[in-house]
Amino acid sequence: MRHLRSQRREWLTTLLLLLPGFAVFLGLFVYPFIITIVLSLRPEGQTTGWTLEYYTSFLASEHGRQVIVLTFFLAIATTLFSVLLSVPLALVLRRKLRGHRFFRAVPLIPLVVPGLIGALGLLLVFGSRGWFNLFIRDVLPFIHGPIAVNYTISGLTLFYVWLYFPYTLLTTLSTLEGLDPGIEEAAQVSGANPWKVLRHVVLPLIMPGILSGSVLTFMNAFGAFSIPLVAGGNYRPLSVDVYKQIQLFVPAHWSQACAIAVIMGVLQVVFLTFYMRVLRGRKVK
Amino acid sequence: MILTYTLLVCLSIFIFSPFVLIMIKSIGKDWFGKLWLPPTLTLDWYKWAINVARLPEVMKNTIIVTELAVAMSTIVGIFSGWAFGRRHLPGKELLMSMILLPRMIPPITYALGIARIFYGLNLVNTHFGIALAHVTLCAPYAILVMSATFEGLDERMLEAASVCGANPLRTFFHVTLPQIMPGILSSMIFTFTTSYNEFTLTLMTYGADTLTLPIRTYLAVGEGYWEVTSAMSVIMVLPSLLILFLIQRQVKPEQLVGGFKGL
Amino acid sequence: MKKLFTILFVLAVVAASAFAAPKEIVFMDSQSGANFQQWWQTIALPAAEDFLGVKIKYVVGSDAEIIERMKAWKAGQGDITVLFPKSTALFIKTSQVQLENLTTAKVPNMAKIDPVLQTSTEGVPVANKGAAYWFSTYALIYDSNYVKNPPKSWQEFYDRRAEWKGHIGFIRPDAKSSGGWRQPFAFLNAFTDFSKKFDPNAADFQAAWARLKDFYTYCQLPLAAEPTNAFENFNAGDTWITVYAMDYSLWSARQGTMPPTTKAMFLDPGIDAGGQAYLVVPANIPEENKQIAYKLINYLLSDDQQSRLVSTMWQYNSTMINDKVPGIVWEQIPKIEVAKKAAIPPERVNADAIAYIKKNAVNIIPK
Repeated sequence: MRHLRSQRREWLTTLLLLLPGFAVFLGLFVYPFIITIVLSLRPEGQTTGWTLEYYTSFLASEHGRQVIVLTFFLAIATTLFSVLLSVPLALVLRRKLRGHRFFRAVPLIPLVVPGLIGALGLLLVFGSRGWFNLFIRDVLPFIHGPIAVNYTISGLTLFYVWLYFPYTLLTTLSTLEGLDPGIEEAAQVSGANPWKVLRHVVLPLIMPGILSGSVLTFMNAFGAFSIPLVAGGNYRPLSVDVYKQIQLFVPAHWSQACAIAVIMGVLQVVFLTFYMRVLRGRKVK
Repeated sequence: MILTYTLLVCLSIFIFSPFVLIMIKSIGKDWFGKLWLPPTLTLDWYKWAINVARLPEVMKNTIIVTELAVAMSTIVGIFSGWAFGRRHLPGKELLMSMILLPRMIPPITYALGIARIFYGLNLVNTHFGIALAHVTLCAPYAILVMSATFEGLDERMLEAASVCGANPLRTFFHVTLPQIMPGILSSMIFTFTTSYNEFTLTLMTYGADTLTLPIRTYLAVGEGYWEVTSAMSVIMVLPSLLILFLIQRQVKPEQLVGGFKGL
Repeated sequence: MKKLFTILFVLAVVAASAFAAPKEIVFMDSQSGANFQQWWQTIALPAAEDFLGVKIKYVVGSDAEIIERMKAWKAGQGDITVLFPKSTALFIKTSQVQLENLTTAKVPNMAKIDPVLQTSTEGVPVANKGAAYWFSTYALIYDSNYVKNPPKSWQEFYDRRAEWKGHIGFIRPDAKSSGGWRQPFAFLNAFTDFSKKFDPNAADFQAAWARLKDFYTYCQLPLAAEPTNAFENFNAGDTWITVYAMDYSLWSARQGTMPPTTKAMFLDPGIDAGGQAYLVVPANIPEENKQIAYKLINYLLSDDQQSRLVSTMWQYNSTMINDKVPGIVWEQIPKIEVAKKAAIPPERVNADAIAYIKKNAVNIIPK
């Protein structure tokens, strides 16, 4: 009897302890999300009636499809380039050369500064009179400049990569360092040259790390807001489109904005599920 | 070997150049045409940021909001961390992944809902309201860190304390708290930087009386006054860089990435 | 007895301190850009504080946010004493917010305002709901370093466009800034008669539209998304000649954020006038604050203040006091009469044409 009572008390205490966390989660995340969904189904500015028109008009319109394609394109391109950048970097950083502590801290910087500031700085660097173009003009005169980077799609991808490649790099690096050196040694001893070892032994082994890092990069790039807001120019991915519905119109287009936001959230949840699968797959290994 | 170092140096330049340029722009004057450096140096833009953009007031707002957010998140973190770290909880893994959802879903998707709710509750344009919105993003971090901390708590010390006759309260203050203090500090640092830099949720809940530094910098971009924007950016980014410099030895980089266990 | 005296004494002190504490009122501004935020906070409002003996709290907001705020006010409890909106027309049109009627009985200096400015704003009748503080005008802004002999008319600008190919700074017609439609509107106005009923299929408009399309190809490409981008190009020396608000450009040149060789002038037959800005007083505020508001507006419309406005900020004053402005000002900017003559007259500000431009100009810009 007493055992049951104390067990019940245990449960109660646990529940009480979890209460603030749940309150935050439910009240500041789940409930707002529900409100967003509800709002997206109401006609603009009204409190009754249901409609799917904001979803259909967005998904059916040329503009809506362009926006979705753009967001995907940016996210995929960012992820690809992040991987291309991160794998060599990880291989290099693992070698613990002179000054490697400093070089390891460098990729942490984009993680701790707000995207807004990164975007502003990058706009300055890659503008028509930024150092990038001045470098081309003075040091590489054979390249016909100035090269337009700002407000172009490739420039925007570059900015995204600046901000989000550390996710891929750090997971790749940690996976790489977690490898048993014996495996590589064994491969080399059996006569394979370093490139072969890399391609056939190391890369497959660190693939899970690369994968989970790149999914993180992808999700972040998909949801990026402050960078395209400031540096996107005429390219408006989903997040900026949501904000523009509120900002550009008086009265604001809440319902349309919420519809786009829900579409974005749903897509992100899909990726998240994929990510969890990837993680779980790693654990099984 | 040279190739390696070239790669690393290029990377460093790629990462650092935005900040260097922002800094130079914030103290440069008459920088027209295509020059590497401005011909004149000046503090005018910082003076402007202080006098016209009213930076002290903006800083005050930012600090108040951040303090509130950190306090609330830390409390939530301690309670939840205790539950996750020390108590029997079925489906703990699932719950932990759920807790991190607000950080994984782009904030803009639920920021609209938060804005609507806050409008109804008159929380828009209040320090408490904005701090509350920040807690959505800060609490997951705090919970994560505190769970790990509580899990690492040494059971034997607690047992020893109770054997020696200390009541639960004393045990908490004299035994538990010192042990979890590093975790609390670490959690406070993460939540501080998150709240200090927070932009998206603040953008949906701010008002004329509660401008924070990220918002004011964004508004300055719209005004087209690049020099003053740069000055504000410098002031804004210094604490984050400082903290990074201070903690870069202690913290494992993977924690910054998202804190998934088992990564 | 002693107790009574103490209580009375304390009450008296409290009452006295309540009166002695300087009254604070709120001046809400959603109109001003960076230049005028400085003007209000460092020059105009401190002088007004000294003159009136009240503290003025300067707050920057946005129209939409202010309207929401005003809607939520309880009767007579509004906390904004004077408002300087971006779009006064929006406030006049919104029925849920009420503005006080400003008459010469309440604000004597309103008699000095040019009556033309008090007629309508953005197509909405003013009806004394606001007091015009300034009128802003666009002008041809050019860098005299690169443009030694600027054009004097749109026709000349068009004829000589090859001289500045790739260096003309027009912004995208779908920009957030109103400059997006003002630039093409001013251009088209030189080649077609907008005082007639607008017909997009009329031969003369089609010809003008084709000219505009051709002109866009001579601009710096891609077209700047917003004025800030155009200014960045201007500062880089890539754009040499553009059309934008005169006050902001000249002020920036003096501040050191635009080249010191920046100059302004007007083009025949007209540059679109930027519009007027009005000081308004919400109706739903305490009566005491209203009285202070009238005094503040009266002060800001005084000769001295208006003269300072045009000589410091290169923004045209709303009151008719030009003989009181120091002559040196007119060496920097064209006289007010010239500016008013250069403004496209109201009968040519064709709302249908503007709507057409806002919708369709995006289609003729070079890809």
